Amino acid sequence: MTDGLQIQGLVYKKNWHTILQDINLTVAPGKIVGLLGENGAGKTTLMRLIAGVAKANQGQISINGATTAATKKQAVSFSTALDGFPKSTVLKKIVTFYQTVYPDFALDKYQELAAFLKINNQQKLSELSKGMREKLVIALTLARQTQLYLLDEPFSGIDSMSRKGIIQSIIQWKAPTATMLISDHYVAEIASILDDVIIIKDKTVYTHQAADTIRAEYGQSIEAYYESAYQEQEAIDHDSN
Amino acid sequence: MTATSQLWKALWRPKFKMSNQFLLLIATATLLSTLYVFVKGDLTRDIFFGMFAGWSIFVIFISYFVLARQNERVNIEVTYRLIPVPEYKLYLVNLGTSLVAWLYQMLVVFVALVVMTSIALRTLDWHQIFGIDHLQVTMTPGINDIAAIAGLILVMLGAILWAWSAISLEHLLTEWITDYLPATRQKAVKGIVYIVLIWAGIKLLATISHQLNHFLHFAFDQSILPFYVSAGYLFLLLIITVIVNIYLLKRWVEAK
Repeated sequence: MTDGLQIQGLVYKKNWHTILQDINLTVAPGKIVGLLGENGAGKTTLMRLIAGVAKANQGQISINGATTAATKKQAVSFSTALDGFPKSTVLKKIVTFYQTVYPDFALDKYQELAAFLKINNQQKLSELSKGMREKLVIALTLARQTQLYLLDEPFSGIDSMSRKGIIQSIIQWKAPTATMLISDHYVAEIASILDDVIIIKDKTVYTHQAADTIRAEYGQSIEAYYESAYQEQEAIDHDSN
Repeated sequence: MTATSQLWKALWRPKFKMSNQFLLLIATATLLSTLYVFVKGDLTRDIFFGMFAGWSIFVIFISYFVLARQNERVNIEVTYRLIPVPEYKLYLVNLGTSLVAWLYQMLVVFVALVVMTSIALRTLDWHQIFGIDHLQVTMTPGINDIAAIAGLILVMLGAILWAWSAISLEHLLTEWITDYLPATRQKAVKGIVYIVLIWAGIKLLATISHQLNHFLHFAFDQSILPFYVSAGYLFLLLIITVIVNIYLLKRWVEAK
């Protein structure tokens, strides 16, 4: 498994707007990658394209060599909002659904995660707070034994203490060869677990750097590096005005 | 990849639950209505039968559209679209589970009606009702009757499936077209696209049906063949609609 995630010439347009333009990326297997960018930069869209639930206008995505929609879906575990289930659904029914449709769903791993995140499977979806719902999404997403995990703002709504605990535990829940893409606004908190950082800006990949390179060569923290990427643009905009 | 049997199981469970809820609704509504009539003092021996038949027709009609809504949820919601199966399999299993769920409701109601009828035939006072000693049911169907019934069932199946796939076509085309229109006032734009597509669909269908009726009238007057030709026509329409729907799902329509 040397392929990992490969994206070539990806273009995505919707409602007369170009959302992503000429995205080229290669992510080696086993990495934990921070996908950073301001609101509306296209992080979620990129994840949806990788997961195969959005349709690109141009370009190709392959995950460990898989290029068809069905094989890519098999290789990807994408954190979703669980909107497909009625609010009255009991959590254990959702777990059964995952067990049924995903052959790689590991029930023992889910139970371990559920115990750690204090998820009560007898509760209904409507009874969960925003944070608990996010915890459930994390548990369901990570309980699959896949090659690529896509976590789209997984920590929003989760309290600070739990968030730190989950972030520090993520490494132990991921198989060594599996890749993980995390998009989040808590850059400082996730920085310690990141191997790579990808910044999406101006509809494309602004930079893709190893976290160690940012710290060693640029002498900056991940958060400072990310903020400087946007400050540069603001300065250019200011000068041009 | 998800096995077809597992996919069937996952999509069938909520529809089976929904079907049982509808059957429970029929039973509850029948009991409550009968009780109401009883309290009013108008209760006759066959009122329960009439209430049950009436509520069954109404609830099964409603359940058809609720199942159609569930079909569209599976076609569009990211939860279902992430299932690792090709689009054609997701679409066909979705349609198949809806059909079986609806037929299941019909079957339960039919069995209940048969049981009630047989009880009524034994217990009702036919002499009092019709002035006869007992009701004679003589039904020895010939080969033509069986062929006509089979033809009618085929027409019914074709119509049920085609109507669901036509609803999906309308929905998927609207989703696809609105992706290529400006983002502002999407709800209004969607509404207009829906109306235009429904109008165009009805116009097209009316033209084809008119031609078919004309053909059937002259070609197969007084025979059972029109049933089969109509069924063939419906299944042909169904196949075309299903192919277009799968193409739209595969190439153009995104999950929500």
